Amino acid sequence: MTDEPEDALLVAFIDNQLDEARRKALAARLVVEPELRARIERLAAGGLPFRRAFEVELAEAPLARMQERLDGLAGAENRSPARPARTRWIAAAAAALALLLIGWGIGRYAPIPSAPTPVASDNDEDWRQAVAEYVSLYTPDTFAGGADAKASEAALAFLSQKLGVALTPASVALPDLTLKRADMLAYDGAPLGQVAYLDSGGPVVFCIIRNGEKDEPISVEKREDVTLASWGRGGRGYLVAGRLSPERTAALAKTLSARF
Amino acid sequence: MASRDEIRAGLSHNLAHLWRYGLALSGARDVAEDLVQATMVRALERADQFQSGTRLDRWLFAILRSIWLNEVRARRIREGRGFVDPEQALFSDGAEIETNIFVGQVLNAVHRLPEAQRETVLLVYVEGLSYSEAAEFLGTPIGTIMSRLAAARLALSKLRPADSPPVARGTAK
Repeated sequence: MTDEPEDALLVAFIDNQLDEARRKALAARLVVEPELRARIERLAAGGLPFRRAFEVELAEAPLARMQERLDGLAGAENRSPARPARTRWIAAAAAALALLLIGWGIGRYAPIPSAPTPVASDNDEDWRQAVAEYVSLYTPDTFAGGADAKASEAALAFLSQKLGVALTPASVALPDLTLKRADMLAYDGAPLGQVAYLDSGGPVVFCIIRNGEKDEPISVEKREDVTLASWGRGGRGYLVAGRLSPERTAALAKTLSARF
Repeated sequence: MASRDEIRAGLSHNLAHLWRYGLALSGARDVAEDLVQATMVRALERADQFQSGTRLDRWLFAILRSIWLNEVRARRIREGRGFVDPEQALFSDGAEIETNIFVGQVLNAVHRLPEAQRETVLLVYVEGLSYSEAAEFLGTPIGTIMSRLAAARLALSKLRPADSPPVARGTAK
């Protein structure tokens, strides 16, 4: 349809993909050639809000079903039953690795925040166990060093986008705990955000997983030497974990569950 | 070399984008879903072929594309199923507001373009690849990218509502 050899050049001009020399040459010609101007105007008119239009399709993708299939493909290989106690630290380290850190690079191409939630999987239990196992490896030194307020804020904004919840320094603030950092992890393909704090007793983490978890009130349990308080709301699972008393853990969870 | 966990996490985070690409290629939602499924299997099988430090999303897109070209597309044409009517395949939302109606028209119009133009528009104007990235990804000269975009723009130039401002290409890197 475009036999006009110059159309390609004109489009590259519109899209700002010409090198400096060719751009200048074409700009000079456009000043004196009305036909060329008419042509470029017509091509420019064909530049529609493509990105916005196509966001609709991201939101319409059957994410839940596809995630379920992906989990199915993944599940077959690494579900293993109870482990002997002496290899427990290996299991914990493996669990920590499985919570693969998702870099900003991948994040750039992630679905828009309003996209439907990935699916409920049968690993609700496993992700709590994985968190408990790696939190049991934390020491006060894990989060030593000063907190960078600006980095935390940017990281929280990134997590908010991934998880579809509003995480800000204010909304995650907890009494007597110092916010140290926020990380994007994944468990079995589901995005898992972790906010880490330090108190006098050691590290405390607040985790949010977007895995289609059922609504559940707060429940407190002990795994490894870590106390966990978890709840589910709006397709997300929430968890507070640390080497704390059950009462303190429950109180922290209550404070956060009033916000999330 | 990448671990399967890395590939799995990459798949999980790109599912919607892969599906959208599959839809742009095939014009059919169910085919798009099948393409994503086949891409998952293939990517996990070939996890050791992915080179860490390169773009995982591009690698996954390339797998989906090769499955489409070499397997699915050929079979669909052989079976005479052709491609679905874009009007029914897309945007059946009952769009409440006028801008949404326009957005729906844009989608439908792009899906009515020939496959090569449709794919190029998606990669450059929606996914934000530069001309040279798109040329490399598709294995074509840059001139082909340019003339596809020009042809697409001419076909779409009648769609714009009189009052809306022209839109430049999406943010490039």
